[in-house]
Parts: sequence; C-alpha cells; structure tokens
Amino acid sequence: MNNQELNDVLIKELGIGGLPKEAQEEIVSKFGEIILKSITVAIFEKLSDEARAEFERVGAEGDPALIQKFMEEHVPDLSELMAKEVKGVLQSFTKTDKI
Amino acid sequence: MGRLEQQMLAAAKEGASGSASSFGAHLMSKLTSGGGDPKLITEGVKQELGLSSPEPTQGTLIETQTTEAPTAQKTDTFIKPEHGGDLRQASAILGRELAELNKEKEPKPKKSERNHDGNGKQADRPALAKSVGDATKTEKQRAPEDFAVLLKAEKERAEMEIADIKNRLNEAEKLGQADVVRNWKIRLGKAEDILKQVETATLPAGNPSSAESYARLQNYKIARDRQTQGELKKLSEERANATLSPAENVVDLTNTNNPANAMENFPTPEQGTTDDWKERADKALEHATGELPGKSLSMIEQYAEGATHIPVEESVASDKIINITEGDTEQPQAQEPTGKTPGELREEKLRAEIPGLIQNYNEEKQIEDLRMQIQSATGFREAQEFPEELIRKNAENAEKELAERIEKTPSSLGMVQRVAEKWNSIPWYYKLALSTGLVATGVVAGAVTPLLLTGAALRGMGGIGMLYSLKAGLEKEATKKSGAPLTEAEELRATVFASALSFVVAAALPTAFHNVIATPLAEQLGKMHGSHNETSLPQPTATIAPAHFSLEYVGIAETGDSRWSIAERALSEGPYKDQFKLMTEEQRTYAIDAIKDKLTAGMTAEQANTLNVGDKIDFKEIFADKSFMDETFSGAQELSPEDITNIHNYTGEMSGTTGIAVSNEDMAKTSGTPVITPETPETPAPEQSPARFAPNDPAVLERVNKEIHTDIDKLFGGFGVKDGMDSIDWKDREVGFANKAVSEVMNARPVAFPEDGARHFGVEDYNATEKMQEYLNTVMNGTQIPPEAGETVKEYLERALAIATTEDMNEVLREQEFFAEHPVEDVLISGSTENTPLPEAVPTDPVVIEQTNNYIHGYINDLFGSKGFLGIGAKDGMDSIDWKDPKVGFKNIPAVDVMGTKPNAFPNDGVRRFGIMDYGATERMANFLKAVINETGVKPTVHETTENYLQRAGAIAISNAMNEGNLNTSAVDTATKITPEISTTKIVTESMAVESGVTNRTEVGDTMSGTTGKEFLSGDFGTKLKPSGAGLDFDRQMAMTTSRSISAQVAAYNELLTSGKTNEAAQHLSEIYKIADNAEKTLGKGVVDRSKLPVLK
Repeated sequence: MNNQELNDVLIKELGIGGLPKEAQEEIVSKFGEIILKSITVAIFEKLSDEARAEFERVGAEGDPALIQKFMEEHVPDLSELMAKEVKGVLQSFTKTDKI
Repeated sequence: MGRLEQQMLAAAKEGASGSASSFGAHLMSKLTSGGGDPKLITEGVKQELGLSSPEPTQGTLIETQTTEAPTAQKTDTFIKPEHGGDLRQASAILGRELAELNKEKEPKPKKSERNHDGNGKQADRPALAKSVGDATKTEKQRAPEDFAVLLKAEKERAEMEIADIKNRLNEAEKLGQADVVRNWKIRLGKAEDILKQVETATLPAGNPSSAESYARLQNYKIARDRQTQGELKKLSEERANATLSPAENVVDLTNTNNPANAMENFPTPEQGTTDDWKERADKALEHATGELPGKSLSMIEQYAEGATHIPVEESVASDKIINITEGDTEQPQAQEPTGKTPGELREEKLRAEIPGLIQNYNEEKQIEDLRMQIQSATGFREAQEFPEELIRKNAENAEKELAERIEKTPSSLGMVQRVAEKWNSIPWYYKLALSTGLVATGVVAGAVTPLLLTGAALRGMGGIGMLYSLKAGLEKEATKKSGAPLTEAEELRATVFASALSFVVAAALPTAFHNVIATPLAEQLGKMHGSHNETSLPQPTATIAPAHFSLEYVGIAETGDSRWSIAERALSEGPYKDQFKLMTEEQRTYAIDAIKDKLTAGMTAEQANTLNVGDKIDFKEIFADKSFMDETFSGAQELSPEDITNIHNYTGEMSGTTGIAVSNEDMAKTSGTPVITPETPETPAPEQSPARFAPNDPAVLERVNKEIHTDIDKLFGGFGVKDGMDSIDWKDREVGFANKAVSEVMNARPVAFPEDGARHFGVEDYNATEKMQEYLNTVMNGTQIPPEAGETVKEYLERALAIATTEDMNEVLREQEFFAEHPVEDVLISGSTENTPLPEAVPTDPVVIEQTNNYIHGYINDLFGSKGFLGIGAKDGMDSIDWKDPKVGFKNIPAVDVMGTKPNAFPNDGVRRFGIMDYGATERMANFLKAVINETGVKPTVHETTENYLQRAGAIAISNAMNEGNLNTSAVDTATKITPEISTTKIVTESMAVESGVTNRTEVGDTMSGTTGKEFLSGDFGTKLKPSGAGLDFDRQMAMTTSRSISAQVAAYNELLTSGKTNEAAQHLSEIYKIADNAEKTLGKGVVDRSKLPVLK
C-alpha cells in the first residue's frame, strides 16, 4: 500500500471523493489539524494541575528524554489515547445527521 | 509472447514433464491436440512448443514434447502479481481465463443445457471444478516434498549466514570494535532464531500447502529481520544523537526564523557556519543510515533526504524493499534446464514467486483492512459521498466540540493555539502525510502501513531527537502490553504517533518567537476572534470556509493598480486571506512578490509592464497550485534578518516592477496607442510614512541581540571562555541562566563557599548569580518592564530590551520629525548658532587643555550619561542626543541661548524632547553654565557655543590655578565646586582632607578630583588589563568605575570622620576595601593603588 492508495482510502472513507481536489486537500488538512489539537487537549485532560504546569515546563525545555519520561509517568496509555482521538475526529467528520 | 501465453505454456510444460499438476497435462494436451483454441495457439506458443505448421497435426507432437526436458521459465511472470494469492489461486485464475477463452470457441449449449442465468456456463462448471480440484489435490500431494526441499535450502542458507556472522564477529572482537561487535551479535541472534524456526517448521496437518507454510516462514523472517533492524537502528541512533542534537537546533532555528534564538545557538566562527552544522547533521544521518544492514530504505534514510519532499513513487519503492529480507532480494536467476531436477526447478520457481505473492496479498489485504476498520470505526458499512456542506458542518462541529473540551481545560489553550499555528506553517504534503498516517495507524492497529513521512516533515515537526525519544516511549508502551517483540505495524504506528506527538511538543516550545515575533500574531488572532484574553477559546486558524473550497479569485485592474497591488488584493481578500492576515509586513511583501513573479512568469518585459484598467487577472491556477502556495508561505515564515532587511531596502523596487494600470483616457492622452508603463513606476515615490519600529522589527531585534550578546559576554566571558554566550554560566541546560526563570535567578542564594569545594556555575555559583541578579536589576530598573511569571532570563531580556529599544528608536524618529517641523533657531534668543571670536585668549598648554577636556567630559557625562551596571548599559553623556545632536544638542548651541531658553515643561503632544527642546535637560545645562560663570568669572560671548565656552572657561580657570601654584588644590577646587549638585563625587576640600588625616596632598588632590575614574588605580593598570577592543573595554570601564566608587566612599568616609562619626566612617572604610577586593577578583588583576586608600585612625 503506498501513500497514494492510503490517501485514496482516506478520502473515500471520509466521503469526500466527489469533491474537487482542492477541497479534498483542505478537508484532510483540517482533519489533521483537529486531530493534533484533540491529542493536545486529551493529554492535558489526563494531567493534574501540577502536571500540566510541568508539561509546559518540560515541553519548553525541549529535552526529548525529559518529555519521554514525563509522558511515561503521566500518560502511560498514550497510544490508546491517540488512537481514541483519531477515531473520535474521524467519527465527527463522518456524521450524517448534521446538516 | 504475452504473459498469459507464458503462464499457459509453463503450466502445460510442467504438466507434460510428469511432475506437475494434471491441469498442466490437460492443458498441454489441449494445446497440441489441434482442438485448442486458435487464439491460444499463437505463433509464439507454436515456436515454444515446436509446432511447425500453422495447424498442428493432432497427436504428432505430443510424444516429442513429453520426452523433452521442460524449458526454463521466466519465473517472475508466472503469476500476475496483481492477482495475488498462492499457487492454488494462480491455478484457479488461469483456469478461469482459459475457460472464458474456450467458452467463446465452443458451440453454444443447447437451450435445454443452459442454466437459469442463461449464461451458458452450466456445461463448463464441472470441467472447471475438476481442473481446480486436480490442481489442489496435486498441490497437497506434492507439498511435503516441496516443503522439504525449501527447508533444506533455508537451513543451508541460515547455517552459512551464521558461520559468516561468527567469522565477522571474531574479526571485530579481535580488532576491539565494540560497536561492530554489538551489531554482529544482534544479527547472529536473528540468524540463529531463523535457523531454529526452519528446523522446527512443519506443514499444517489440516490443509498442507508448501506455499502457505513457506509464506509463514518468510513472514517470520521478515518480522525477525525487522526486529533486528530496529535494534541496530537504535544503536546507530544513540551514536548519532549526540551529533544530531546541536545540529537539530540549528535546523529548527532556521524554521523559526528567529534571530534572537539564532543568536544564542548560532555557532561561533570557531564552531563553523550554519551550513557546516547542516552538513554535520546530514553526515550524522548518513552515518546512522550506513549502519543499517541490508541496504533497505528505512525511515532513517528518508531523514537524510533533508528538506526535499520524497515523491510518492520513491516512498512506494522503499516500502516494497522494506518488506523483503536481505536473502529474499537475491532472486534466483533462470537456470539452464540441463542438470536440474524437477524438484530443484520447482524450488527456484517457488522462491521467485512466493515473496511477490505474499507482498501483493498483504497489500490488498491492508487496503481492505483499512477500509473495513474505518467503516467500522465510523459506524457505517459502505463509504458514501457527502455533500460539501455536510463535511464543512462536521468540521465546524468537530471544532466546537474541541472548543468545549478546551473550555473545561483552559490550561491547554496556549498549546492548542501553538499547535494550530505550527500546523498552518508546514507545507501541504506534510499535512496530508501526517493526517493519512494518523488515520491509517490510529484506526487500523494491525495493518502494515508504509512510512508516510519524509525526513524533512519529521524534522520540521519536532526534530529527530524528539521523534526518537517519543517513539521509544510508545514502543515501550506497546511492548509492555503484548510482551512480545513489536510487529512492523506496531513499530510504524509508534513512528506516526511519535511524529504527531513531537509536533505537539515542538509547538509547546515558548521561545522568544512567542514573546516577540508572535506577539503581533497573537494580537491579530485576538482581533480576528474578538478577544485575545487568556480564557478566550481558540478558533480554527484556517477555518474551512466556502472561500477555501473555491480557489477562484479574479483581480480587476483599476486606475493606478499594478500587478503587485492586484496580487496583494488577491491575497488579502482571496482564499488565503486568513494566512495572509497573520503575516508580518515583510512576510506579506515576500508572498506578494512570489505571486507577482508567478503572474509574470513567461511574459516578456513589455507584457509584464502592460496593464490596462479593466484587465482581469485570474489567480485560480496559482492558488490551486498547492506546492507553490505552500512554498510561498513557508518561505515567508523562514525569512532571515538579511532577507527582511533586503525587503525593506527593495520594497519600492519590487512593488514597481510590474505594469501600472492606465485608463483608456490616459492612454488617449498620451499617444493613442496601448500604454506601456516603464519599468520604474512614474508615480512619485511614496513619502516617508511616519513608520515606527516594532519590537519584532529586525532592526530592533538585531540591536537587542547585539546588546544582549555584548552584555552576557561581559558578564561571563573571559577566563578561558571566548564568548560569554557560550559559557556554562549562560547556556548550560541545568544551571545556565538563559533558560532559568527570572524569579528563580533572583531568588537564588548559592553559598559563596560550597562544602564540596567544587567549582560551580550559573545559578549554583555565588559570583555568577550575583552578577546576573545585578544585571537583571539594571534591566528592570532601566526598562521599567517587570518579568512575567515563568519567563526565562533569555526571554525576559529579549522582550524587555526589545520594547525599550523600540521606544528609544521611535523617540529618535519622533525627534527627527519634530525638529524637521520646528527649526531650532526659532527658540534661540541669539537667533543663530554662529560662533564669534573669543574675547580673550584661550590657554594653549596641552596639559591644561587635556585637564579641561577631562573635566568637561566628566560633567557632561554626569549630566546626560548613564552608568549602567558595571559599565553594562553605560552611555557616555558626550554621545547623548542632549549633548551632541547637530540640531538640538547643547554642544553646538550658544551658551547664552541655553541659559535663556525655557522649553515647555509639559508639552501636549507627549513627544519626548531632547537637548535645547527639553525642559529638564536645558535647565540642567543652564544651571551648570551659570555655575561655571560664577566660579570662573568667565562669561560666554553671544554666539559662543556651549562646548567652546566650557573649554575656554575651564582652561582659563585651570591655567590661572597653575600659574598660582595651586594646581592640585585650587584648580581642582575651582573645577569641582562649579557643579557640586551634579557631581557624583563628593567634594572634598583641602581643609576636609587635612582634617581627615590624609596628609599627602597629592593624594588629596587625586581623591578630590573624582572625575577621571583613574584616581585610585595604579599607574600601570592599563597595561595590566586587556587592550581595548572595537567597542567598550569592559575591564577598563570596570576599573574606572571602581575608582569612582572608591572615590565616593572616600569622600563619605572623610565627611563622617570629620563629623566625629567614627563608627559610621569605619563602615565606609570597610566598603572601600570591599569594592577594591571585588573588582580585583573579577578582573583577576591588582589594579587599585592601595597606597592611596585612606587608613582609619
């Protein structure tokens, strides 16, 4: 499966195959942006107040090892969290009852 | 010969050899019996089979063919790869195709023989079923034999590999190559595991198939090879990371386009240029890549591709290579038929076919899995197309839902905004890659997806170091759950998730970018969304609006328009208006210029410069060119300070290089022919706008960066550190001040003599912390800008000094504008600055002149200068606007004008004034002049400039004193008495000195002078210290400041002593020695002449 095939699948499953290419790209881009923002919020939701401040601090320091350690301690199920957010955004984009 | 024919012949010949399926034999019979379909028996087939006549005679060639050895086949074309599946599938496919062909030839079945579908297939089905059944049966029968052959070959290969690895391992051990030994050990483990797997492999009891069993074995090898590569890669990464880390900083810095940041991390000349760093980064990447076995194109190789987007085709190619182990890439070549047993031929064939079959089968299965999983996740079984309106609504709703979550977690707001901001700054194809990758790996946990992200994308998103760390964490998480080695899918999932996460974390970096560069951005965001307070919810920064779906924009030329102005309009009103709004002026100029260039690409100069009112310019094609637009916006984000300066310099030229629209009337007025506007616009150059500097202005940032650099260098440079910015005190990650919060530094209380006796740095060092605290105090007091909560020292300095510098620079601008409208002569009572001859001769003795100039320098410095801290931030009053400005500086203003002018103390316009226009400065200068007149008795002439008058009056006074033999007392007294209220040095009179017990008159004289800054320094202090550089000599300045401080303390000490306050005087005496000690400690040299210091009696 190559990138194009993957992209085709995504566009088809998002139901935007019939839209102009520019619109498709715009939507996929927006889709990714919302996923990333959702992941960010989800991480914050998992953290205590102290940990949130620490997250900002650790992030600001930019030390990969520290960030990894922080994530392991505070968000042990990071993969699941991210998968859940991806799935959630995907569902939001493919709802058929809101128009 | 077509592929089908080849396949057909292969099957037929195999059947004829007696070792293939009965289906093959049946086929050969059909081809040679004369009853075969003419469409099948082509010339190529005939040649292969040795059929000489156009229509072979039935039965004549069967025996011949069956006695010949089978011809070697091109094994790679045996099965159509796109069909996938194993040999049984292949047989079935071939059977179906043949049946279809035969169906056309065979007479149509009678009506009574047709099935209910009326397709005439009823009669064919039994034969087809029989063929397929035979093929399957044969396959099952020969499976054990095939499998045994394969296993034998696999075992031999594995054993050879193990032997080879052991040899290499031994060599590496002998050479003491620890890293190489580790690599070979990892590979040895893999090879031994594979051998074990081969030795224990068995055919499945229920449905024995050599192809399936072999496929399982191959899958195991692929997975094990993957695992090995992962381990090897990790080793390489560990070694490369140390080199990558600083290089990554530079690469990331180029993305942020932040000169302030660049300044801190930019390599010094000794460390190399930015290009050197990039090169080192690339070499490190290559090094890591080179360590990988099998030359497979793995992720890390793509990193090395740098900023170039890897085309999809390349990515696909690399993916395919990844799926094949090293051994599998050694495809067996076609062999001569002689000497090959049927079993060996089958083995060759299987070897060639199976990897392709497996790969194709897997790929098709992946796509199907992905579809199914997405459908399952989204709750609808079949993909359907949605109206654009619905998608847009869904996107908006998704944003709203997100906003509601943020409302409940407001602390996430900042980071979410930064994520969106960063997301909008990356090129389109990276967005697509990450979006698709997230779905593919996020939804389909078990699917094997290709690597979607290029090195540049990952680098731009969060940096390789960050990616690897986060990936390692995610892999650890996955391993913990399963307890088994990671599958390829899990590893790729970790990669994609880590990419997304590193993007998020990278967006969290609150560098100076956010404080300085992004401030206007945040303000604009706030304006766009009504508010920009902390609790306001973020809005989509690139909301999907209808305009985005329509990339159409047609600009219509109006009078005075140019292609430049129309391009600007298209950007500000068209589909990219959101992005355009967020850009700085320089970035906008860059983007407009890029669009304009695109518009005029391919045009002749004449065409480019011709534009008539009403002309339409269609931007759709340009706006739809995503790559171009992404490059344009990315390029705008990455402007260097030099670029920005160039844009400033050439904005006029750029905006004027295209045609300006001319109306028909104008055209008629000129020549009646189409107007060609000149290369340079005829419109007059725009007048200098009342532009003001902003904190993010490159000129401001450049000045601030230099100032910080100079100050930090003064504070922490020297003593073996070439540049204070590179000192541990400043930049160390743990203790350096740069990244410490201001509050932490100000509250730090490191002990002066640590118990461990070790040398400490930064916030752990007493002296460094004290210096930093004093410097921060100086900045806070000087700028009146307090640090914000959590703000680091570097961020604070950049912000505070940027604001202060902006104000300074704008004041100068305002002053220039003000005086352009208000000639200074208007306020002068003399009405002129013309000088007149002096009424009396000025002493020409160089000693007198030098002393006079020294005094004047000291006074003017006291009046208009600033001492700063330890010389940092010091401004010489002689260089102040108040003194030396050619229009308003007192230097060139007649002294009588200074004394007679009363500027408005409270101007309504709020503009800060200088020199003769400023109330306070004029008052100070006038008082000083009056004091000079009183003390010297020398009066200024009408047009005598202040400078000339002071030189004359001072020289006369000193000369008189010298003539009277009172050089060290009266003259100094005279000089110092004239401005007692403004001198920083307490005046110590001769009598006071005598009373205080300081008996040496020379010392008294020096003590009293108090203005040269050298009075308490040893005569050779200058040679002891470093020679002056291009700018201020920090050491010399510090020494002289020390001398002045001692002078003040001595004066206070004498005064108190005179008053009988012995104890208080003793405190000052103690302070005198403390000042001397500290200065000498800092300078590392004994510069104070201690014989001149008073001794307490």
